[in-house]
Amino acid sequence: MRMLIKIAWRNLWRNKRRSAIVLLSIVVGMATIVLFDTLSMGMVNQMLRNRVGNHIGHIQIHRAGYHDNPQVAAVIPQPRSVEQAIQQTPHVRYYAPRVLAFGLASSAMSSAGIQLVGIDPQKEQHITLIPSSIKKGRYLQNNPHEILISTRLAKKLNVQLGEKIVLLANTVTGAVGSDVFRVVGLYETFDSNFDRTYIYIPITEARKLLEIPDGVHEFVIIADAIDWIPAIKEHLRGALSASLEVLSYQDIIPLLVAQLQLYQEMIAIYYVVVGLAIAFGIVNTLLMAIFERVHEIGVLMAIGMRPLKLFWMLLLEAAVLGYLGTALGLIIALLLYWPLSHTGINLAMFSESLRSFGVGAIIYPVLTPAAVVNSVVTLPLVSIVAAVYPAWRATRFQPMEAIRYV
Amino acid sequence: MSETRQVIIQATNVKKTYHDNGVPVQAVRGISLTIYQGDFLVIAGPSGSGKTTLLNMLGALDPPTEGEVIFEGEPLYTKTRKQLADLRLEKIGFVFQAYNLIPVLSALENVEFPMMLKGIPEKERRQRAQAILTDLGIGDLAHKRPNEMSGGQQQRVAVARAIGNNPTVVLADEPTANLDSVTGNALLDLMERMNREKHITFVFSSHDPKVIQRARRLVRLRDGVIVEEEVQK
Repeated sequence: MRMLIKIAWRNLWRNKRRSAIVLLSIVVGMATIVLFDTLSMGMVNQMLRNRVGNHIGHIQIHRAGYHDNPQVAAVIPQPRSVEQAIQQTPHVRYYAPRVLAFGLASSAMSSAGIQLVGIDPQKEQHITLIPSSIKKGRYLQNNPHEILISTRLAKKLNVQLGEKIVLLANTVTGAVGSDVFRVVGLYETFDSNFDRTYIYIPITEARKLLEIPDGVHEFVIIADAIDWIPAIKEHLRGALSASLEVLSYQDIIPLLVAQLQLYQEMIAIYYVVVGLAIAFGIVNTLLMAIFERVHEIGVLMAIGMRPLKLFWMLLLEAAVLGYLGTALGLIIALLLYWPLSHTGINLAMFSESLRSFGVGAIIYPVLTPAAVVNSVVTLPLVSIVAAVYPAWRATRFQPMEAIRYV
Repeated sequence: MSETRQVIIQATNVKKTYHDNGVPVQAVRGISLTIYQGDFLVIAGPSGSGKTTLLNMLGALDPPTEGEVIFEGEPLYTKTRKQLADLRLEKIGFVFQAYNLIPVLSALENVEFPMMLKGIPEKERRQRAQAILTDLGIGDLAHKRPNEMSGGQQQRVAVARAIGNNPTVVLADEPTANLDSVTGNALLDLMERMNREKHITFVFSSHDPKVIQRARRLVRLRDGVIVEEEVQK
């Protein structure tokens, strides 16, 4: 075997330029595929982190059916007992109550449909990224008539920091509740759709507006780690009454979760496309290399090399090429990945489109073990598979036919 | 010639027809020949007389169009490609006119290669290959590649490769054709010594008088048939 590897290695360098070109195509393919993979995973992770971090959290508890049909009247019965159950659940890091309603925000100039979120500012600051997304002013402090809106909505309503907004929403009785709020802060997330809709007021103000004293529509939970979500969900399902629904973020945003899977499948397609491009290069190179060495192949057969052994020897040459290219490509990809994972890749020119997907302008690539395994397995495998035809072709020669071949 | 000697190869009325651009060319027109253990036989004849074609048919490289070749009592060309490869590996050594060494391997590795195919452990084959090269007077060239050696040196390596697996017979196709007379004679000395000391059977195809002079059995071909067979010594 060692001698066959030696022959494979030395044969590789008989035509240095040709091997270098194929090697370069594998190296570039490998580096591109890994970087594309890490960038895509970074983007997808960021999208998920932003969606989960902006509002959704890891787990939500509502009255049963609320997620599908959110009604102001559908408050959680006995919220204190639910709170106690949450406090007794292992691996819950933070939780916060919310009051939610659809409504209308109006300024002197304009109005917009909004998602009203009544929060406990103290508890909520551990749940969402909103406190760290304040661009102007400050976060809520539980004072009466304070409101936090996004810079986008402020622009749409044509209001500035310190100016007033009127909120209108249906109360629990079906009447229209309204109140005046003063803008104390402007936030900006990476999700433009989110920014256009979500506004925050203290939970006490929301309860007054909607006429639901002590009412809570939602408890949102952050786990110690994502891996604990199923266990927490299971525990709460057991601890809480059946009149409540316990949903993980996968249940709440199934489309985004499906989108993540789609991304992963798209990456697989990319692997296939790059693999095919490389495969054609390898088939071409090996066919040329074999037809240049037909005479030598005849000699090998004449001195007693079995056709199958010859086949494996030629496959080994392709494998050496594939593994060498993959190793070099992976090293280059890691050398590029390492600094980019710290500085991120600035895609400011696409920032508007990225924001509509809930992603920031700076993407931090994420290298997953799957990316390394996929690339380390795929390209050498492609090289070997691509060599099957040329190698099989070589074994079809009769020894004398090959020796006489010019 | 003693008829009690062991028969290695028996060719019976073998014929070979090639097709050159669709035109059939009869290279060998019906030859019967017996190779005995210990022969130092030369198949002589002018170019195009069918020497190389006959040698290839005897050496399990090229099946005859008609006739039969028996190798150590078994028909050659009823065997599979794999069986023929194994037979060439274990029983037949080849020396080609153009040396045909593997260019990416050193002299030592070239000699080792058929041993590796046979499954001889690395340490043993390395020692054996080095011993053969030393015996043939080129031990100091063991780590040279073919392109770093002269024609004569390369042909010695080819002989070393041919005898490495202790074959029953070595078939040498015009082995001196690319060598000067001094080098050619030295190579023939060497093969004679192998024949005498190690009892290796040699069958040559050649039209080189130096080779013909050395033959203990001489078979002359013309136009694909044997025209003369003689025992010279």
